[in-house]
Amino acid sequence: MTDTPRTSAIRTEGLAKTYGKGSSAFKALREVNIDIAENEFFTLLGPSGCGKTTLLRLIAGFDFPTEGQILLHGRDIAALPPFQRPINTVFQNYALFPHMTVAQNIGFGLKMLGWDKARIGARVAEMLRLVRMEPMADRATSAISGGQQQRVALARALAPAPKVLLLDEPLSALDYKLRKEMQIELKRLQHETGITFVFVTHDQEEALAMSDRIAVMNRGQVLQVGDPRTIYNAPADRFVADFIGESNLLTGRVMGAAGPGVHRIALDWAEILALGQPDGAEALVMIRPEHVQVLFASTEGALPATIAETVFVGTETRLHLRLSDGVAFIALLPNADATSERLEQGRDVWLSVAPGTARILGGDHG
Amino acid sequence: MADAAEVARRYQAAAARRRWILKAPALLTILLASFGPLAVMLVYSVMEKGNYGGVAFGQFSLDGWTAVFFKYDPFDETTSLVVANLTVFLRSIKLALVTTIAALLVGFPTAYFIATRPAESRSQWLLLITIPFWTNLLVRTFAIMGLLSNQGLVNNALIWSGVIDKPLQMLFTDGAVLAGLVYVYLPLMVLPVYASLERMDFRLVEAGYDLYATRWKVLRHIVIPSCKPGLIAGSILVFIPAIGAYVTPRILGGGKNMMMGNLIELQFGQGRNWPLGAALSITLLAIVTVALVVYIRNTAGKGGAHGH
Amino acid sequence: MATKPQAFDPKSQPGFGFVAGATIVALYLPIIVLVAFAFNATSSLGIWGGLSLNWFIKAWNNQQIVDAAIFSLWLALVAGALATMMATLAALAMTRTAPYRGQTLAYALINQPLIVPEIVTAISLLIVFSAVKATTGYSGAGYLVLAHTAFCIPFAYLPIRARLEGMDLTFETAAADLYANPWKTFLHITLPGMFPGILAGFMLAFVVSLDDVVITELVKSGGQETLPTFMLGQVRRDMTPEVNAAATLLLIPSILLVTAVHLINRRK
Repeated sequence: MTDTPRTSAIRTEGLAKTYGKGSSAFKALREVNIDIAENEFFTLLGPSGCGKTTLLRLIAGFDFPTEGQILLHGRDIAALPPFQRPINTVFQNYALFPHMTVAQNIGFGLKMLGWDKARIGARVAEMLRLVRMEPMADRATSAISGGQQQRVALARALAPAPKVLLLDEPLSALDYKLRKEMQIELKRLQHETGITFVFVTHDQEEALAMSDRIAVMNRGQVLQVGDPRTIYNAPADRFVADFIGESNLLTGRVMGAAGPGVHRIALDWAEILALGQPDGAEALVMIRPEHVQVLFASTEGALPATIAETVFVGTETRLHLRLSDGVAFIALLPNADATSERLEQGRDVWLSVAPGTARILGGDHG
Repeated sequence: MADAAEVARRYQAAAARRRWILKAPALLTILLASFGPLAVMLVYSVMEKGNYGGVAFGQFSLDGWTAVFFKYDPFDETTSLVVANLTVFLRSIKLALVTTIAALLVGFPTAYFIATRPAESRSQWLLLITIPFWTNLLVRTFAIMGLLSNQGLVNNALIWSGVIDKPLQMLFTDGAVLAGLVYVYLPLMVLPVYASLERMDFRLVEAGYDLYATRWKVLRHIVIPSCKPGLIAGSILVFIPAIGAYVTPRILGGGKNMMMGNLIELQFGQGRNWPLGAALSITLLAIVTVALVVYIRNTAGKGGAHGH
Repeated sequence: MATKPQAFDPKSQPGFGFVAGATIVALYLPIIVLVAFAFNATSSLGIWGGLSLNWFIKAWNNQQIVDAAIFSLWLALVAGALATMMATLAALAMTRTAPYRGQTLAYALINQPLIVPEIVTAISLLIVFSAVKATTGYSGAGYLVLAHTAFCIPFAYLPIRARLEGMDLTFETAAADLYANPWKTFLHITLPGMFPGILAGFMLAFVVSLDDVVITELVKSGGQETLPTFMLGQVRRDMTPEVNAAATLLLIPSILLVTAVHLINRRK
């Protein structure tokens, strides 16, 4: 993939972090190379323990890398202490100073930078307006709600106008409704301030909804970087496909090319067309549940299956199916289809995959 | 510019250095005015005694240690037990043990009662127990002396009510020392027992009743086992200062009813036998250490266990 | 008439409430009697002769008592402050860090004065200080300050350490993130956060120093009488309520400070 011309805000080169020594050493990060553009909403996504928080801490300066560089606008900052980096953080539990008011919290960074009182006052007022917390300026941080604390934490981190804002799972402590609200709020703040956001989450839905680009991480490595659509539609490997959304993964034989970037893959009972480049005679094919159509008569190229269970989930119906060789398969059907009454358990059906949606995955087949 | 790993190493080294610098004043003060002098005392205990107190430096002698229990008579060249010292030892151990048991008998029900109060009044009860603990030990011993003296409130009350017609001699007896020790060290029993009862899961008690246990059986088989660490901690906390008590026996026991602390002090006053005093001090310290080791063994063993 | 069925309280044990009540009475009655007789009009410590402030006035006019009281307060302030400072620094070094070599040893040393019977410490100090006095000729208050500071350190250390351990390290991380260097972070974040612990530590150290009698009695030189050692000296004399008045004065700071510590701890 080629990059469009842009300036990079944060770039890491061969970044590695090992905790401990000898046999008890734990490699939290290995050879991480990412390039985050200016004014980008960039998300680090992965399960807990994947290294995303370690990467964030290295960028913030709370930890130092074992190897590699962190370039902020081209300058290596890997060895600078956090208070010398023009980068601010919104912490998972907000870390608002309990002995200071809302306004004092927001002004803290400015005070440390040596701003004079009048300038701090003006900037704090501006920040309070930005996060819509003007009437709360003199409240104690313990006297405001969780959502409001979140806003104060954002205002505090944005006040010094950092080059990069790091957000460490900032929405995880909020309830569902508030979380949705704050997702929109965060996008608005990023647009209004024009600051680069690096956002850490383990919630794939959140990542897809908010990000310009996502880096999917596992076991200390970055597996794929791309915009949400690319990550969802063309996952790089089995892990990404599994972690983001739901997917059916089937192994088949490569029968040959059927056009540019399209191959014929033979599964046990049918042949389908799949996008992507296989790296051998066998290929791992991903089929998203929502790209499957259920037919009630045998059709060429359709996979025979039996309905194991039907689950009504509001806007959709989830079908748990068994393919003829016993492999489990999931299909997601919109409830608008009148077929839903005919989906009783034990019925034999045929599954057709929408053209151009099946994907050949690279990497490990294990 | 140095690379990040090097900087990280430097930060770690600086942090380690800073830790030692920050600790140094406290550790040095304690070394100088608490731990170090104990070591010096050990040296003093194996020196020849000086004629007017002090020791004769450089003259190594185990006389101080022998004198803890034995006496050499230069006239008939025999060695005999020092009954006086032995009596003081036994009295100290006896008084400390009885004090501990009495504090247990009174302290456990008190702690249990406090632990079962509602949160608000619990905190007030605790304050009531804590205040005497932090108030002057000498003042509290004086208060007991005031009550027990011949013209004191207890004797006056007994005479006034006609139980006795002349004052009972209560001061300067083992009983007075015992009363004083229990009075002074009781809070040290209540607080740790309360702490372990507070952590106890009282649903266990309900489960006990559900399984047909009587109140006594619940106490015996559920409550006491689950607060055993607290009971042991409280017992040690009472036993240690009780066996090393000095002020209480001095004021309430008079000259005759000495405990080890008084015997030790005597060697540095009238006795003028510093090596013996040092040896006695170390003996007392050894008894305390044994009690502590027992305590640490008990709690360390329980620490890993689940449940309780 | 049928008796009303009583709710079964599984927590209660018969007689325990009585014992607890009796314990409180037993703990306070002697002190109350002692304080009451400080207000006695006659010189008796057993027979009430009417209310009067005579003994307080007498104590106030007794130069020995006034000197001892002033010296006690001075010593407790100086030793308490020194011990609190040292304990604060030590607690900063010894809490919230990854385990390191020597940590257990340092911890044991800090708490060492708590374990050794006071008379043993007092005797060992007597031995060492008398040798120092003989060689240097210095017999000032320095010995008492040093001795009191040493045994106050573990008392000051306790609440400070507890407070620090309850403090989240992310506050300091957040301050560093917001351009505060380590010193500013300490000044603006750590110190205000641990202040209730420091205050409680100082109060306890102050009370413990004020209460000490054994170590002071054996370490003091001439003219270094504290209120407790003065009172100890009065035991064998013909005692009058003047001593009760002095004791009452000694009780006031203890009770006030311990109640204050209790309230501080509850508020957090």
